[in-house]
Amino acid sequence: MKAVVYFGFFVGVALLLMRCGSAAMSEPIGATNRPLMSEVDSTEFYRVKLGKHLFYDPILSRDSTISCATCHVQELAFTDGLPKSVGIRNRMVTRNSPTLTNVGNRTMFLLDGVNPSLESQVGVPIQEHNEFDFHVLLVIDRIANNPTYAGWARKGYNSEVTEFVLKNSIASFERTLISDNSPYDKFIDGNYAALDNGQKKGMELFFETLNCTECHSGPDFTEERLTNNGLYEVYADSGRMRLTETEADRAIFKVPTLRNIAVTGPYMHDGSIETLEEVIKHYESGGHPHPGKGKEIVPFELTSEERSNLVRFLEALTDNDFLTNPAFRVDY
Amino acid sequence: MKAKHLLLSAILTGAGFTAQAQTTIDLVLNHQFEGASFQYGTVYDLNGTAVSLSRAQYYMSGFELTHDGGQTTSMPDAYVLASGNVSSYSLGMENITSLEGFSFDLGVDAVRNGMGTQSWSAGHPLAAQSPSMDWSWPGGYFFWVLDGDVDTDMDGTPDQPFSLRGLGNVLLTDVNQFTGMSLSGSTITIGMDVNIADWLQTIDLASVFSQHDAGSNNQLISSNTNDETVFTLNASLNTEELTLEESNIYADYQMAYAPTIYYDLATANNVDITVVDMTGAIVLEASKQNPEGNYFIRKELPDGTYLINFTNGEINKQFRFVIKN
Ligand code: HEC
Ligand code: HEC
Repeated sequence: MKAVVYFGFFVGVALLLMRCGSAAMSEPIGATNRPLMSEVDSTEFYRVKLGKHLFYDPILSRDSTISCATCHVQELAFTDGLPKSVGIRNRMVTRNSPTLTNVGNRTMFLLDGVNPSLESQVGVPIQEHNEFDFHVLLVIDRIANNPTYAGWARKGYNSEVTEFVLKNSIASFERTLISDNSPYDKFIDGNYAALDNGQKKGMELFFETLNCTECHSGPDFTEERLTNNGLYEVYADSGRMRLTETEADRAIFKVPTLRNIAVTGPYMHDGSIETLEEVIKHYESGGHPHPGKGKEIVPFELTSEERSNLVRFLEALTDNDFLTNPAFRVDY
Repeated sequence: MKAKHLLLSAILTGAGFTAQAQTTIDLVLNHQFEGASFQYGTVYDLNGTAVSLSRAQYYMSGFELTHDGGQTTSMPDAYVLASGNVSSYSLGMENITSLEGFSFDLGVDAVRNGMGTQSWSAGHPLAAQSPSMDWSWPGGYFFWVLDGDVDTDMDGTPDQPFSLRGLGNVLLTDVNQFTGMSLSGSTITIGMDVNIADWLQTIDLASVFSQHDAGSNNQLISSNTNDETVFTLNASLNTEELTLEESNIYADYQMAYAPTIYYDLATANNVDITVVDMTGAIVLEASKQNPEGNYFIRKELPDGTYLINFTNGEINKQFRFVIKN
């Protein structure tokens, strides 16, 4: 007999269902609910369990001081509240830590989208000098030497601890990080009172009046367009060009999700904008000239009331269940 | 490994197959620098400038064989991770009798280049290596790693590091077709000279520093592969001929807390390896290892000096290295 555990959240499959023409893209859409079940003692259950514990375990860093969760904190929707992250021995990371909200829906990873899979992405902090500064084979040895982890690997993968087990288990945990119960989602699900009047006006600005959904579209407010939003004329971070060496990719970034955006500041790849109000002022200004800048970034004017309505709409994307869900924590 | 191959062909013959027998195809790479035999840490003259290399590794894939009157057979699963200190590689087995030509690519094909090291079991050339052959953030392999030092003040001593690592599908390089061969036997050994100097021609090493990308200098390495003659056939090469008179052992300290020992020993036979600390206690050991290879100190050890011993009936070689956490 197997008990069934509902993790208390639902998967957004809206991505598949909601891809209509561009007219529909500016309509509000929410996540479509599908229960994600993981049976106790199923292989998936042990994969997620192993991955979750590894996510919180500092043994992944060379000097065992920091874990994934150091830079991806649940209450901050798995960001760290810093302009730029800090790795082992106080080494400065060059970028702002992104949210892991609904990260399983993404198809390209890192702020410039150069990484192809959640599994591959696990290797990044392990190897990066400014993050864990370690070697994947030595991480595997540490995990394999932990009988609890070795046991879960056996149950989840019928295998000893391998690189695949390490990367797939963490990715499996990350794929459970689903947020679809914000006031906005409730509103989309038919609870008209979930948003107040100001938020509804802000929503209208976001979806209808302004160009936001040309980039922040789809159920997660991103469909991974690679573009530029005119933050600077000259960027210190070369964006996608760091890989492609192509001038056209200079300062090109992946459009980020806006889910839980109110708790993931400071904003932008370098954490240079502190508040949502300032973000909106940036867009109002039309941004700086940049060859890669999306043509939709053009100046516009908002009254202070409109601006605050737009901010309050963005705040309605905060899903408190997600920020407090005990299934995303480990209790030592 | 050899015994297994024999067994398999015995089974095939025993069962009355009339098809061509499976032939083992080996690759022998004679690494050199403008004609001199190649060794890590040795100072060479590159067009009047002193250079030395601390690491030279590259992927070969996409092998295609021309054989038995112009037939072609591709070997999509044969990957070679070649190292400057290692000459013998095995490509696998194919149904061929006489090898007439072959070609390959420098690098890793796009599909596998995007799959990630986690897709391969330990020991496969595409699995995680130490030192790493992949760069995790863009999720791809270094098609080549040419790390070393170059002399910038013309005193004959290399003084400034350079690191050239090709990364990105655009760098996958067809290597010129090799033809006019006629090799047969139960094991066919393809011998090639690999002139590492030719990769570095026309690159201003003093201005390289660290380039891990698909940028212009790595594109030069790609084009130099054919325009220069990095790879040339050497029909007479076999492993025995490449056995050294003196062993070469070199420590790669890119991860000073877990170095890799590159070795190429003056023996053709397998060796036992032990690593001991200063009290003489064994901290790592491995038996029956190839007489040439890269031994990763895959253990978290305290700071200090250690000895690695390579022994068989023929040789007994020690090398001292340090761990610094
Ligand atoms: C030192 C801080 C730090 C640590 C530790 C860290 N991350 Fe990150 N993470 C970041 C930063 C910064 C980025 C953006 C990096 C970039 O774009 O180059 C990022 C990006 C990501 C992304 C990509 C998200 C997206 O939408 O593209 C994922 C997934 C992720 N991290 C998961 C993890 C996991 C899993 C671990 C532990 C194995 C981890 N991180 C450890 C700071 C950190
Ligand atoms: C041309 C595409 C485009 C348009 C239009 C656009 N954005 Fe963005 N947005 C981006 C990109 C790209 C980034 C990330 C830039 C960076 O990190 O440097 C971003 C970042 C943001 C962020 C910060 C996200 C974070 O996690 O740091 C917010 C908030 C935001 N946009 C809101 C909006 C709003 C509101 C609108 C409409 C007024 C809008 N955007 C219009 C492309 C766009």
